[in-house]
Amino acid sequence: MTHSVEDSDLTNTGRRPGFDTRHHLAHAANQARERNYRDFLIVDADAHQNENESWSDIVPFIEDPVVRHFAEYSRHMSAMLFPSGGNAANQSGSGRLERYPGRSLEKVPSDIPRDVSLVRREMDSIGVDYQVVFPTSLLGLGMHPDTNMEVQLAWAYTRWMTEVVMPHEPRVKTMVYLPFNEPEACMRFIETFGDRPGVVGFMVAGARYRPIHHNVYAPIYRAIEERGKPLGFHANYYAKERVLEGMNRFLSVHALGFVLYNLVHLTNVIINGIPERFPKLRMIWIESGLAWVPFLMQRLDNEYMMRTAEAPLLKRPPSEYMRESCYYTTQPMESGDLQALETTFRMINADSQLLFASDYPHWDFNLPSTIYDLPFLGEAQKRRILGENARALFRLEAKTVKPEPAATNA
Amino acid sequence: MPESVRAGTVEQLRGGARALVTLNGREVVVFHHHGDFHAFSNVCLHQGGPVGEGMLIGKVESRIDSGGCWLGDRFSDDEIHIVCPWHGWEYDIRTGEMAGDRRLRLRRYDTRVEGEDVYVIG
Repeated sequence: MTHSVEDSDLTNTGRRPGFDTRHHLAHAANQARERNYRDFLIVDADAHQNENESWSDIVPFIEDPVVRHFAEYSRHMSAMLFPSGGNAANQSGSGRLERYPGRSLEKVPSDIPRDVSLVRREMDSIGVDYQVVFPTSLLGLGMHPDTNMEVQLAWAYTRWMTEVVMPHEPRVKTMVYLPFNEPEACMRFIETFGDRPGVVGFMVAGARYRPIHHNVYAPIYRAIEERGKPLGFHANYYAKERVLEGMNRFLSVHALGFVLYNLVHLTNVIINGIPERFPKLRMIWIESGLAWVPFLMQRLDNEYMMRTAEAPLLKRPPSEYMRESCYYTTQPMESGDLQALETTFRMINADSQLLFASDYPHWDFNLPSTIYDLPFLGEAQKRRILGENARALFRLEAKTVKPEPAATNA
Repeated sequence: MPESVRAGTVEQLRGGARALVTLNGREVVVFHHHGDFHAFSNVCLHQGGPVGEGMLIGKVESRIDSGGCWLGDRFSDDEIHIVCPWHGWEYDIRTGEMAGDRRLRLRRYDTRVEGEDVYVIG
């Protein structure tokens, strides 16, 4: 189809009126057709919703009447983060990324929850069969000084997701947010939500200070291990983190901040022998990209060999635990140096430990083509990373369930 | 004889509109900027986003004094960028060069004005 300026609705800002995910991702649908993703099971292990847009639907599920009252007078969830300072953010690149200012304008059918329509549209455009959906603002609750706030909001969010959103779309999966600053509450979350349909695991928002190897977490790890579902550590940054205070650009804070807490947590996990104590506990390190993993493997191996007395539970170098007990999600995958990336894949045993993730709709999302087009992967490897590894880990059905991407115009 | 497709009139494009056309099965976006017409592939070099549908904005440059001190940032009046709306990769509208690495550039198409009409040539 040819458009000329007479029938183009592009303005001189390049934007069409309103916003539609299917148009925004039309080129992604083209990629899905060209690469015949209908023949590939694709599982997106990390995508997001903007729960702020559904805040009024979530609030009634808050159990604590005082917190609920506060929430009723807060326009969105982000307002509830204020004691921790929230996260000063420029996710939209000062408006350069169309979906940030545009997505709230998207028109959707009124007979199903808004998030169901939006997630379906993005999954169908990108070529995803199953998508693990996480919140966005909620991920900042690990730094909230009122630990009850983390419990209350995570509880309300999880009830809303599992009772209101997910029953409409079985392709949507979730990992239950655990309020890790209140260990006893985590057990209630695991017991209440752990077996609900679509719950494929449990998740800890990474930005927090409490050491996750502490004994108070042992019952949690045991309970999760016994359920056979994975535990994810979803990275996020915390703009008020002291070590980041001197950074003046969002790029800088994001580049380091999204790796920082996963570096700390994974180090504590390995050096304190969590994989030896809970050998069937499978952990996923989410949204830190991949380049940090070879760094940490080499760093810990080097120091461990000189100081085994400080890691008495380990029987092998740390890197071996990191490639056997841990899974990693791809996004945001650092692919500027393909040789380095190929080495990273080898070091983390990507054939079995790597899970494709889009992180859509966030600013640095990845498409399946970031894996499919890699020249050093064979087809079997592509199939494992794009879907089969996650299918086995999350115990999903083996068949593809996505529709053919809709034809789009230029 | 290379294929060509009409993108619109000179007046329309000079007025600030941009045209999105399909040429030999490929999406091409056409701009008018400072007296010239520029036509580029509408597929971003990064992950294939619809680069031509993004914001046009001046290059952000830092002002540095003779002593090496940073005085602030400003938008360039001379260099305008096309910004991919997916991830923000920026390209110089005159050349298609990627702002962060000038060795990368969008595929460029020739344009031709015939009377009042602008054509893209494949």
